[in-house]
Amino acid sequence: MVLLIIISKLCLYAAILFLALYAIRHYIFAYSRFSLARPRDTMDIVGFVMPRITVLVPMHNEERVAADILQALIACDYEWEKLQIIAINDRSRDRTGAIIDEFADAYPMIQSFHRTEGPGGKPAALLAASEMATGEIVLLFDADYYPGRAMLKMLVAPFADPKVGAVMGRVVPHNVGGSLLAGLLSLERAAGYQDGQQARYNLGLTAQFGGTVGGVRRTALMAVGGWNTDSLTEDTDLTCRLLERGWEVAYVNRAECYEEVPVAWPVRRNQLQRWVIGHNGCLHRYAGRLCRSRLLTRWQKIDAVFMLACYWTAPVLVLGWLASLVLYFAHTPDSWGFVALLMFLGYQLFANQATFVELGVAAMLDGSSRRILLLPLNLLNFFSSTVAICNALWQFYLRRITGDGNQEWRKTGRTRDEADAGQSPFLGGGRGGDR
Amino acid sequence: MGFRFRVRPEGAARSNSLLPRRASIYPHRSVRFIALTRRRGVLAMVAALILCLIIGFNSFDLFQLHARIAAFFLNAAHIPVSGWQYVEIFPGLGPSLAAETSVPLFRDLPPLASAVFIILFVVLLVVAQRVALTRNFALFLAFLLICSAVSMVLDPNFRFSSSEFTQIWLRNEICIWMLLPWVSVTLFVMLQQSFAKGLGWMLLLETYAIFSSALRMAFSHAVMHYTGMLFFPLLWFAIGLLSNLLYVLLFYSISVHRTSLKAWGSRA
Repeated sequence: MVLLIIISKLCLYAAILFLALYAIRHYIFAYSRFSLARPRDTMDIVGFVMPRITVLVPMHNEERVAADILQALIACDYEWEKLQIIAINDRSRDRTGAIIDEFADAYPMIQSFHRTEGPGGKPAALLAASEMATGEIVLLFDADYYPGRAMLKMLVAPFADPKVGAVMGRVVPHNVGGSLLAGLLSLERAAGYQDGQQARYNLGLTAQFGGTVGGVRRTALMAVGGWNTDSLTEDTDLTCRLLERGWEVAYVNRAECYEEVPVAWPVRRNQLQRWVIGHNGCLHRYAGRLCRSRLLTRWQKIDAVFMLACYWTAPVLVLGWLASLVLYFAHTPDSWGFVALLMFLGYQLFANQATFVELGVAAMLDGSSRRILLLPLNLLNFFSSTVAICNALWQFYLRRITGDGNQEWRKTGRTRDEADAGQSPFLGGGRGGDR
Repeated sequence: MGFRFRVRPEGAARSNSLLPRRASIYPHRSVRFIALTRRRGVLAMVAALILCLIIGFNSFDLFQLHARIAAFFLNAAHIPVSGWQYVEIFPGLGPSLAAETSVPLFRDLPPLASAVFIILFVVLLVVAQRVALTRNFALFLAFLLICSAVSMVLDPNFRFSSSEFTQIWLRNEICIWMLLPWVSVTLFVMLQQSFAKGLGWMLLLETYAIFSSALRMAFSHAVMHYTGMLFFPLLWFAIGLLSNLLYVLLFYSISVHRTSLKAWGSRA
């Protein structure tokens, strides 16, 4: 019993320390967004930087959404002579290929690329299609996204700075009314972009390239070895290699692009699982290399490690809960004194609240005043995500131990109705920011 | 099944005003009136320290108030209180009066308690089965119930007296009360447009914490009076720890909602 209490204490203190560091990071990001200093952005030069660009749109069984994204890209106010759109049909078994071909026939800047063999997954599709790219800048959009009219110009503007290797735009869910989960995820997305990404960019830390609604300088992409087809999160992988070589990742908050978020928990769990496994793979591959890089500042290195290890907060949190459960029910005065209890409860309140503070700040910045009332229900999402992340990490390490390194790419399911296929849900009038 | 897209006529203007854009995409006038200054930060910390000290130095009186409120609810629920006794909370943080109510042993539990236990367990399993988002949460609560039942079976004589439960409860709560001012600094005082409003939220949260703690403790006493220790872990987690987190979040979401309305006006 004594040994169990000692182990529990050590686990709890370690968890408190680990999560307190993350909490501090969240608080810094949240409060920095209220700083009176003007955020870093490149809106002043939008439209003045118009290099030749290639837009890659990988699609796998995307007949429901393929026409929307291509139509939206065509409608962007970028000079057609400097625009190349490569619509990638990655071994689709539905009508995606036919839709792409129809667009390619109608518009000269659209090229169809049908992939029928080779390894599956987005990174492999990007790698193959990148060989056709002729633009200085390669932009990426997932098939379920709706880029706005000025999107391409906004994303390209930061590349005026030669230090910038990649640019990330903001992802905004459009189907927030689809389910409670979608509403909660929209709060999370807002916190991640409006707060986290912008704060990291403002503070000169490591903004993250997210693999969609973003772009990469082709020379930088080639210099770091192209897309890593072994990674489930090719975007994080590329971010790490760019940072390691001294390239900067820029973030454009105003470049808002609309996406579908999962409306059902099983879909979200699969998405989360892919992210966790891929992200953790990057942690093992790049954490040491980034720390040793001479091209990053001390704070950038620390932030990069925090970013890569972010999913570790879930198992550490569970460890802290279990340890505190043991200590609580052991109920001996020496094992659970005032200071220990204060620390435990303090960590429960402050560490857990930190992420919620970010959600609130992002909602305040966005003006999502009604949706923020969902915040207490986010505990359900928080709880479910914690378990899903722990499960994914367990699978990751189990595969490493057993030597089964092959991770299967699982596409996130789309929920757009068939009746809506080929038509943007925004047609007929946009709505305000608090959907 | 089909798809539709429009091919732009030759020479037509390249515009598509129907493409998705939010009504507003970036704060211009909205939140700049929140003066997140060092001075405000220092003042907020000082306010939190003062409130924390007030709670610490007046803990005895607060415990008395807490006991009185709990007694009111126990009386209202017709829970027989056989007496009151002082229990030590933490050295230096005054003793508290604890109501003495009977807590039956496992073997003395009425059949109704077992029935409630089984019904609750089944309900949790059904919720876990039907609502995917709540699955893990419901299963965790069910796990707590199982832990409780197993420990009862293994040690049928195990129980906390009502005064011991009060002691466990108040040890948690006094820490929460002393932490809440600091939590309020980050959640309310720094993020409200006026410092006074932030302080208002801080005091409101503190008051609610004390009041709701007494109510939740009285409820737990009532449950234990009828069902013994069967639901103890569930009460400790759901009515205790989780409730604290939940009402803090609720207050925070309401305050952000109000601030956002103020900031964005009719656009929000």
